[in-house]
Amino acid sequence: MSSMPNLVPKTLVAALLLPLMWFAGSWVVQQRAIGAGSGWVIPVEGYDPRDLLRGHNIRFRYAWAVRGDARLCRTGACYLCLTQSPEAQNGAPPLVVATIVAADHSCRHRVDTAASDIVVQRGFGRQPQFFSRIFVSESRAPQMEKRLQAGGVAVETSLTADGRLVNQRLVFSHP
Amino acid sequence: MALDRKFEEWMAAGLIDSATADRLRAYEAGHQRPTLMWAIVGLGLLALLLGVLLVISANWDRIPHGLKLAAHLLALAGLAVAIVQCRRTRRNGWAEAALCGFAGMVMAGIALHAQVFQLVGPGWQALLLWLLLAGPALLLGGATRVSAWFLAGLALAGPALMAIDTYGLGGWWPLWQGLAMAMPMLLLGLSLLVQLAPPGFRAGLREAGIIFVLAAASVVHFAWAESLGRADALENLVRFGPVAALTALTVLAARTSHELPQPLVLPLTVGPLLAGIAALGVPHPEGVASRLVGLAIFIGMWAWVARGAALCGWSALFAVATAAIAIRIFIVYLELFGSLAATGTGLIVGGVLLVGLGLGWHRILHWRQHHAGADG
Repeated sequence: MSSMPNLVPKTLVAALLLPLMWFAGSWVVQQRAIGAGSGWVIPVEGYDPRDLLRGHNIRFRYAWAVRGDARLCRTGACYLCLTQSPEAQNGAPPLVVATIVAADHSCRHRVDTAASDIVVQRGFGRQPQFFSRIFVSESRAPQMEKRLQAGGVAVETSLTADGRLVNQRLVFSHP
Repeated sequence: MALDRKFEEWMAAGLIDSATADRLRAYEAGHQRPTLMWAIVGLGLLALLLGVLLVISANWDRIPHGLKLAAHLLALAGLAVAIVQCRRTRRNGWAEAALCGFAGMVMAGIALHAQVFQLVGPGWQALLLWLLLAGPALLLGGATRVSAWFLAGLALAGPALMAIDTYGLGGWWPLWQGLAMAMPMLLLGLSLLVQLAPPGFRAGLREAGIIFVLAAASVVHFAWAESLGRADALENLVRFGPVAALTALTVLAARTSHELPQPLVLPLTVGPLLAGIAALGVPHPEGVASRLVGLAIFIGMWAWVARGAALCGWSALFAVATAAIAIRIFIVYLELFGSLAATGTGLIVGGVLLVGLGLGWHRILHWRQHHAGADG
């Protein structure tokens, strides 16, 4: 006598639970990494008025002071050591200094540009520039573009222990 | 209308009488589906869904990250519950739809996590993760060709992109690339495991496996047009390791399960493997001789497939095999002389070969009809 077929085998239940567990785990791990990371508010500039917005992303340049040996940034990944400059004065936000360092250089707040999806633009006779992006809704894009052009925009970031600089949100000094 | 014409044809041929035709007409009239009504309802639901999606996307950056991630997890859990409930109540169509939605929602989750946590990497990593997370559910829960082709797409796209992106890297990469090359054979092998899934799902996997096994073996034979050095050939042999292992397992499964007609087992497994190894694993110089060897192997592989297809009545596969041989015969003439019109001899030989191929095809079909009649 044949038994009733098992319509929902345990293996199928396990297979359905697998992505749920993975996404929940990923959320916890990533959130803990960002929570444990150091917070940085970095001024940003739209680097090209014709290309502030590509798709639904605002593309911007980190307006930090770049120091160090630019030759270390020529090939492959580029590593930056973030510090806050003591030069800040008159109530202005402290200047963020990004010093280019070697891959094996020990640093408390080290940014791995490749892991952070930062585009490095090298140039003759000047320090490299570092570009990133943050998602915005299409409906808010024109308003964001105007505010970026007006200046006084910074991005709140979290720097994780493994060197990922995660952009959290844009902040505006002008209302 | 089309059905009425068919009834008239069948009555003229003496297959059915007018009373049977009337009964069939009455049955069809009573079982007509309101297609237009369902099309309008479907259009309305699609508009509703798109509207909701657009409202969410227009305010995407105003929605807190935590809310987006939680909503995604809830949607995924909801679809998982729907799959289980629909299977319990035997609503198989809905279970299949929920399963495909579940697999799609997994990819949406990967994209969402990448956006929220700014995770970067090559596209194939996301596709492989999609395969690892959604593949088991599709494999164990799929019931029709739809989910089978969904799984086949996942199993082929991510590994193929990985193999292309990592080509030339040393270490273990050639073995991983070999595993990617073995994916079509894996699909064919899985389709033979009777206990694994319902027949519709396995038929989809088998179709995808056969199509991509034969397509891959046909594409790699273009390697005969260029020279292949000893070092590259050796590296390719390493890549063929996983393909050979999976081919052996597929042959074993086919011999024991009898899910694949026996005359087609070796032509669809060992044939493409040998053709692939000959093209990519044997050093050869560039030149006419290599091209002719490649041509002979290509035609041999497809002729073996055509013979198997003719023996077991797979007419579509037989037609494809014949067309592949015919096209290759024309291509070789272009390869050798640069133009079909370079000499009249080429056209005459090509024409004679194609006419012979057509007549052979007709003869085999006639032979099959005769045998089917004799068996019946």
